[in-house]
Order: sequence, then C-alpha cells, then structure tokens
Amino acid sequence: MTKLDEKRVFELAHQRAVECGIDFKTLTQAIDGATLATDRTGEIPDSFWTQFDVRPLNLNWVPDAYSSRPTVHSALGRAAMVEELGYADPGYAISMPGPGLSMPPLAALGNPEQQSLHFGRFDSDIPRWGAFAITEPSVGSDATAIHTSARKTTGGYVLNGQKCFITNGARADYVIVFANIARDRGRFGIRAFLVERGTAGFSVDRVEDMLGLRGSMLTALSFEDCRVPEENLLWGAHVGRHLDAFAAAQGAWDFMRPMLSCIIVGFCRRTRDLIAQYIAGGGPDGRPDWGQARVERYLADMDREIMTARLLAWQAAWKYEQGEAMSRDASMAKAYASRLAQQLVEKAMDVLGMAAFEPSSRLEKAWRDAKAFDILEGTGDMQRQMIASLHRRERTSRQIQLRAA
Amino acid sequence: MNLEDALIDSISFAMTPLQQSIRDSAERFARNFGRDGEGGRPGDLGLDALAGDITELGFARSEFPAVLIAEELGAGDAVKALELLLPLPALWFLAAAGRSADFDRCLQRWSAGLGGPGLAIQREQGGQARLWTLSATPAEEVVLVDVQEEGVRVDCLPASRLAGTISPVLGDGPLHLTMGRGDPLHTLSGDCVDRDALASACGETVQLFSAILVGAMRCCTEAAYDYADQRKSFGRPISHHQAVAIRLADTLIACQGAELLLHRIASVESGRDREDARLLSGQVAAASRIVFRDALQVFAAHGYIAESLAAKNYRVSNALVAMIDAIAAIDG
Ligand SMILES: Cc1cc2nc3c(=O)[nH]c(=O)nc-3n(C[C@H](O)[C@H](O)[C@H](O)COP(=O)(O)OP(=O)(O)OC[C@H]3O[C@@H](n4cnc5c(N)ncnc54)[C@H](O)[C@@H]3O)c2cc1C
Repeated sequence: MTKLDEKRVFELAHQRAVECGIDFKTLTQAIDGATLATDRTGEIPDSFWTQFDVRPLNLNWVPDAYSSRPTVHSALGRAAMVEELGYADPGYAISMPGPGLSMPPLAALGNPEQQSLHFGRFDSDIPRWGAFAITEPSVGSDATAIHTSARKTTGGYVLNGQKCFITNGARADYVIVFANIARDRGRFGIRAFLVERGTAGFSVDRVEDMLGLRGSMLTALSFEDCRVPEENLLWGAHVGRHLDAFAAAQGAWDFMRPMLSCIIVGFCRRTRDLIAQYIAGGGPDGRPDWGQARVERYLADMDREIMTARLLAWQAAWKYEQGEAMSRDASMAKAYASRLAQQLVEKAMDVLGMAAFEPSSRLEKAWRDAKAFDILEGTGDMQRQMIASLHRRERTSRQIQLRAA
Repeated sequence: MNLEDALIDSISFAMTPLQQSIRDSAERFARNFGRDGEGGRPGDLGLDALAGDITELGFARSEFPAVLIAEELGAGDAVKALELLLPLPALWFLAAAGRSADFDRCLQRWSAGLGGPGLAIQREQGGQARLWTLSATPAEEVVLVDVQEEGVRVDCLPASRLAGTISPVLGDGPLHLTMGRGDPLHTLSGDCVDRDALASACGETVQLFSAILVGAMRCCTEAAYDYADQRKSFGRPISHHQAVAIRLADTLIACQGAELLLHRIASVESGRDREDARLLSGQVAAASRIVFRDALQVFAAHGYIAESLAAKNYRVSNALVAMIDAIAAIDG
C-alpha cells in the first residue's frame, strides 16, 4: 500500500512550527475541538485565540525582513504545516491570523516604508488579519474586468465600488483592494490600494452565510467615496517595469494555490481516515461484508491519489521558492486536489450513507466544505484554461529555442 | 402483439390526460410554495388518497400519480415536498405490516390537517442501533421500521419516544432529520412484515423520494441554464464558454436519464421489486451527484451562499440520496 507518510509530514510541520514558536499541537487540537461549533454558528469566538500565543501565527507569512521572530523558511515546511491545518479543518486553515493572501502584493508592490508599517502590525499579541479583495458581484473569473474605480484627487484617491466573498474581510485590519484608475487600459489600469479598517466610506456590508468553510468570514465590502491617502497606493518607482498590480495579484495566487492545495491534501487525508475508521468499525449498514483485500485496495486507491495531489502541490511550492515560473504547476496542483476532494467526499457518502449524518460525523460538513475548493482562488475551469495555455506557450518558446539552436 | 410493438408500448413517453392533469395541478401547487399561507394541506392535492390502493381511485398502476406529484413538488422545493409527502411512506409501511388501526388513525389525523406521521428507520448491528427519524415538527406519531437479522417489524410510536439529536441537515424549516445511536428500541412485537409487502413499501418509497430528487434536479438544471445565459465573463454569457456548456449538457443528460428511468420503473408492475428499487436508487444517486455539483459550479461563489437554490439543493440532495439508499437496502 502506498504510504501517506503522515508521521513524517506531521513531524516536519511540528518541528517548523516549534521553531517559529507556534504551539502546533495545542493549535490543531483546539481547531479539532471547535470545528463543529464553528460550522453551526459560522463564527470563531475570540476566546479561541486566547489558548495559545498568536504572535507567531500573525507573523507566520510575514517576510523575514519585517518579522521579529523566525518564520517558516522552506516551502516544504510551510506545505507540511498547512496540510496539517487542513487535516484539522480547512475552514480554520484559511482563517488563520496573518496577512494571508495580502502578503504577496504588499511584498511585491509596497515600498520599504509601506511594508515595514503594514507587516509590522502583525508583530502583536492579538490576532490580526489582512485581506485581499478583487472579486466583485458581477466580476469573478474575469478579474481584469473589475468595476471598482479609483479617482485621483489631491493627496490620494477616491474609491467607489463593491467587493464580495472576501476571506476574513470582516476581521481584517486592512484590505488590499484592487481598483481601476483607467478602465480603458484593461489590466494595466488596475492598481492595488491598502484600505484600513475604519476608513470613512469603507464599510463591511455583511458576512455571507456560506454553505461550507464557515469560519472564513466571507464578506461583502463597499466603498463609497472612500478616500485613500496617496501613501496607501501600492505603487511607485520601486516597482520594476516588468510588474503591474494585476501581475502582483497573480503572484498572490501563485503563492497561495500550492498552499491551498496542501490544505486540500490534508482535508483529503482526513476524509480518507474517516472512511477507513468507519469500515474498520463494522462497515456500511446492511451491506455485504467488504473483505480485507477489497478494503485494502479501496484505501490504497485513495492513498495513491492523495499522494499524487501532494506531490503536485509540493512541486509548485518548491518552484515558487526557487523563483521559477510555476503558475501552470500551481494551477495543476489546485485543479487536481479540488477534484480529488470532491471525489473523496462523494465516495465517503456512498460508503457511509445515513451514518454520515450523525451529529458527531464530520462528513456531512466535509461534503459542504469540499465544494468550495473548485471555486476559490479561481474555478477549476479557469485553472484548466491556464494550464493548457501556459503549457502551449512554454512548448512554443521551447520550439523556438530549439530551432534557433 | 409483436415484439417491437410490445416494447414501444412499454416505453410510451406520452402522458395520459389524467397524468397530465395531475402533473399540472401539482406544478401549480408547488408554484405557491414561496407564498405565505399557501399550500400544505394534503387534501389540496389529494395526497391522503394515495396512501391506499390507487386503482380504487380510478388510476391504472402505470400512471404513477404519487411520483408525478412528488416530482413537481420537488421542483418547487425539495424540503417542502418531503415535508408534505412524508406521511405517505409511513402509511405504506403500516399497510405493509397490516396495522390497520394505526393506519386508519394516522390517515385520519393527516386528512384532517392535524399532521401526518413521521418515519423512522432503526437498524441493529452488534447490539447497537442506528436510528434515523425524519418528521415534520408537529408529528405526534412516528412509524418505526425496525430492521433486524430475522426480519423487519413495523410499529407506530409517539414521536417523543424517538427524540434524538437534531442534525440540521435539511435547513431550518419544520422538517427535521434526527439521528441517534445507542440501545435499540425493543418495543416491537408481533410478526415480521411479509417480504413482498415490505419490498413493495420500500420500492414505492424509493420511487417517491427519487421523484422529489428528480424534480429538484430539473429545477436546478433549468436555474443553471438561466444563470449561464445571464452571467457574463470575458465579454460574453458564460454559457458560451465551452467548459460551461459541457457542464450544462452533462447536467441535463444526467437529469433526463434519471427522469426516464424513474418513469419507466414507476410504470411497470415489477417497479417495486427490490432489484428495481436498487437500480433506481443507484442511478438517481449518480445523477444527483452530477447535477447538484455541476449546477453549483455554474453559479460558482454565488451558488455557494447557503440560502441559494444551488447550495440548498446540494446539501439536501445529499441527505435524500442517503435516505433513498438506506430504504432500498432494507431487506425483509
Ligand atoms: C470560499 C471562498 C473564498 C474566497 N475568497 C476570496 C478572497 O479572499 N478574495 C477575493 O477577491 N475573492 C474571493 N473569492 C471569490 C473567488 O475568487 C471567485 O468566486 C472566483 O474567482 C469565481 O468567480 P465567480 O464566483 O464570480 O464565478 P464566475 O466568474 O461568474 O464563473 C461562473 C462559472 O462560469 C465559469 N467560467 C467563467 N468564465 C469562464 C471561461 N472563460 N471559460 C470557462 N468557464 C468559465 C466558471 O468556471 C464558473 O463555473 C472566494 C470565493 C470562495 C468560494
């Protein structure tokens, strides 16, 4: 049977977490205990964060230069950690304090003062979040078509528009908002603005009641003549000519998709374990006995696929760390892992039947959580389009190089 | 009749005028689901009459009125449909067990608008029992189907005896799915239910619940088509993107295939056999996985909001599939 190497992954996650000062065991156990209540209420109570030192969590993804504590350096260390968090609960995994998806654009587009100021706020004993807002009510996949506008005025910009489905939007200290300074310039007219919570004209309209991943506080935001000072525009001479704000958004997805894929891998492992436990405990009601050989093959099939998902995710994360082009790999990892998650929950439902609905069972929740994976950070369709087009582009350039040689 | 004629006869896709009129009135009834104070009494649709022998009402067996009604109600709102129709299987199980006094009492209460019985399935394994109960909140009585090694017994108990932990799988409405695990309820006495009568009650229940699901599939598929024509990305309706078009097509194929099989099985005499019940439950489950997953995917994040049609159906269908499967697996 293909081994899933759970022990070594957990050990690595644990080691890296300890190096950063994260009490990983307490954290994952606390998540495990809180997940069903959060699923019912849609909330992570403030008291949850008092069980451990949150400073290292806040700082976990903050670039070294702006962190007072060591952070997880290696791609694999990060991957192992988020896989374990995904095993505990994927909704919590994406709700962890820290800059989250706002980290890459702030790191890529922010000048040193901006980075120091805004990453600096994560050096705190209370949980702090950053959020990343590009999706709008009428624009999702086609992210370059956003309507939110930014008009230049003296001393800054005035933002008008709406954003929706923003992870951690209602708890974030600031939101990186993508808006248009010139719609006719397409993606090149887009800029990123750091909007502080409490800025006049910026409001949290509602926290959506979602089907799954219910701790993640997906939020609808609106900007009505919201004045953002010049110094909160993430742009300037320090940004190289090769970069635009939309490319920085893509950079955020490149960073996050492998991490999200690892979270999904953890989720898949958990689903697999729940199925295995159920079969070991007597198997499906009223159905014929499974027989050892069949059970083993069934579980081995799942392991094989989970292992493949993990390798795709690790490869993408590793390439990111090496500074290699990896958008295609990130999309492959995410497309594969999200489809696998859906297949596994379907399998689990087929095996457990009504038993999946027992209040203590996590499978009904898993069934709802799994559906989000193929939507957030780009739908499966968009990932597949990118995979094919990036691969074709790569082949063409390789052929040109070959011909030139 | 030659072979070809016989086959054509057995797959007539045309509805009889009676079927058409049942379908139309169920559809009209379901349209009022969203309106306050409308719908809800079994007498409005003659649902209570379907608890007995439909041939006495002038229907041919092949006209499957309960299935047609369930499908339309399911297209209106799957949870409401389940809530309205639930007493039917409960009564069918009582009839199969020959418990005529319980049957008459429950039917009378239901017809009088006092609420019909709920349904509970208990399955014992290794001294432990798993019990699930589905009932409308005002249900006073629950028909308990107790599946044991030596056979199946049916009883009618006060709902309070079966109170378990409520699992809000079916939303916040009046319909509750409760799940329990623990000591078996050993209250049942008397003979086991006759195997054929049991199979028939199970088969009819599988058809009824499958019909609700097929109706919900149809509704969700149509909603996905509407949305795909309205929602734009990259300058055109998303239905024009091949990936979306293919998903919409697969959704429709799954939906139509399940509906044809449902009608086919509901129209034949053998349709309530164990084999047919399993066949139907398997196909409806497979189709439902495709339809509700892919329809939600068309709406993407907007379909992931809990109150959206796609999200509600994604969640409810999962419970319905499990129930259908559990009922199809009951063996006397
Ligand atoms: C849990 C969760 C967390 C999220 N967090 C954030 C966040 O933090 N910040 C943020 O900005 N957004 C966030 N989002 C929003 C997410 O990024 C969008 O939902 C996603 O990009 C899809 O957009 P949409 O939902 O508007 O779907 P649409 O773009 O309207 O797509 C609808 C359907 O059409 C398909 N489609 C569209 N165009 C094409 C095409 N060209 N070819 C083929 N198929 C196509 C899609 O695949 C989909 O099936 C989150 C969403 C979820 C569910």
